[in-house]
Amino acid sequence: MTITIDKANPSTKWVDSLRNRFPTESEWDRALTSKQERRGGPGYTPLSVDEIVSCLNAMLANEIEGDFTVSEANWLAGGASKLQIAFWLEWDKPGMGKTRERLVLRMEPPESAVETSRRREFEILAAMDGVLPVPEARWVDPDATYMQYPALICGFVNGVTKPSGITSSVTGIGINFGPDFREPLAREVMRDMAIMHGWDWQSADLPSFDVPQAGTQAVEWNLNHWARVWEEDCHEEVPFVNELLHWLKTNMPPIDRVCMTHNDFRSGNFLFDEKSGKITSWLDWELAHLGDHHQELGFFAVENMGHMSEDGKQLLSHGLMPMEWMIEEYEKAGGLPVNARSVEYYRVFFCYRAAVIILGTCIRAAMGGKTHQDLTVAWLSGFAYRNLDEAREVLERIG
Amino acid sequence: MELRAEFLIPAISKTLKDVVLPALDDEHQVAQEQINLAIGFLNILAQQQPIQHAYDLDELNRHQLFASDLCTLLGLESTYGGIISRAKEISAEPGQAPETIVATTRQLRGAITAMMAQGHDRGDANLSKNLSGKINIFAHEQLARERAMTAPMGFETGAQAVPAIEEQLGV
Repeated sequence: MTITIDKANPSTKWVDSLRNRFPTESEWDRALTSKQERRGGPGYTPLSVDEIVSCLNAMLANEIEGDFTVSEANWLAGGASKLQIAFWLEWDKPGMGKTRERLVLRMEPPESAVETSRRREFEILAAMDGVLPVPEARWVDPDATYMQYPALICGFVNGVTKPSGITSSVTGIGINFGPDFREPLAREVMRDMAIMHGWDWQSADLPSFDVPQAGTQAVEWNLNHWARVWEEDCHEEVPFVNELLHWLKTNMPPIDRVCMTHNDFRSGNFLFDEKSGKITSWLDWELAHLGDHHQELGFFAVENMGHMSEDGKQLLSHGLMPMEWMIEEYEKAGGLPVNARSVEYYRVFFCYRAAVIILGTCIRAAMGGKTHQDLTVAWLSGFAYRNLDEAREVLERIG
Repeated sequence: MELRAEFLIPAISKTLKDVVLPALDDEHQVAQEQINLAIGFLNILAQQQPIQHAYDLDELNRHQLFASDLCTLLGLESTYGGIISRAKEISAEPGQAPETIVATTRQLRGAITAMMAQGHDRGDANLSKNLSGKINIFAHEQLARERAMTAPMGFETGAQAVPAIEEQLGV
């Protein structure tokens, strides 16, 4: 007998069954369960900037002693998952006196391309301050006490995700940085990756991060997270997605040294200064977790994220440099030892994860009218098939 | 009846592009992006419309054949034989409603996923290898269709090209 699950109105019993079937990190579990609790609720209702600023004032009144003024608030474009508003804050900053600074409010819509925790994102942003260039973490409203939805406030950083005047697909896929920018940026990307992997996370304050044991626990938590997302969100089955999960679970590489991974470390998620060519900030830390350093390298090995060089001779990883060059540069920068088989494993993982996000969550969110840019998340669906085909080719080759 | 999608979709797209888009505030990047995507989707729908039925029928046929193959290999006729037989009938009978074809393919997708899981769960390494090989071959053809059908969305740049969807479907 086939039991039909109404995924648009999931029962607590069904969600609990998935929680038991796919054990994962506790904060990931909390965020995913919260999404299911909201699934049957209303879609996204357009919010005006004034409505958001009204809540923002309430939030800041709770955080700031003394007078303050919020002004020039406006929408920020870019990204496919969060509502983002830039604004100026005038206030009496502790230790600084009267200050006027530009900040960013980053808030979840009812559902988005990835369901994550603002509390956790805030913690890692604060922890990475001084380690890598990141927006300064300021305040967080993790349970939407003041804002319409869970939100955090961070510093505004100047910079661009792609050179002015070029076009790319939504969310930065396939950015062409051009011959002048690509090598220096690639060198900085690999340097920053090596720094992140070597960072002493055990000394940081990260209460929302579960610490895995060495071995395969972190890999399994990660896979279970995305397997659960697929079960909760997919509208129609894609048998090959489940086959990829089967392969990934059967071939989990043990981790010798647990390190911090950004988990979305790619072109489009860093800002750079067009004059100096230097990276000014790493963005979107919401998926960060403790895991395997090969994860980041595997993402750069995904060929669909890159493009060919102008002479048509080299595939540029994420639009930067060829993959062999990237690994050499990572090792030169003091990165951890690289195992080619693990890089391939995470290449398949990212193709699988892309399919889960794009064909599962994005389609589900757009169908429910849950985001502020339903067409953007729906458009991404076209990127899933190339990713699945790339993973299929890898499996055909390495078995 | 003249008000048909094949003329209305391009007309709506043209209006959005020629009238609405230029009227948007340059500062409102989110609105501009959404209008551009709306125009893009309308153009894709206009391109897909003439071949959609052939695409759906082809997809049903291939899923039915693969499901049947798995069912026989795994000896699961008592569980999945009914849906596979029904799919075969629908596939063979002309004039089926488009929604029936799509819904039946969706059922087959679920059946294939469940059969694959049951096969892997038997713990027989040779069987698992055989199943993985079969689904890889099936996925190769399926993904070629899907990539070709979504190629106008612009994600195929730089990739090894797949044949045009019309060529794959023989239409």
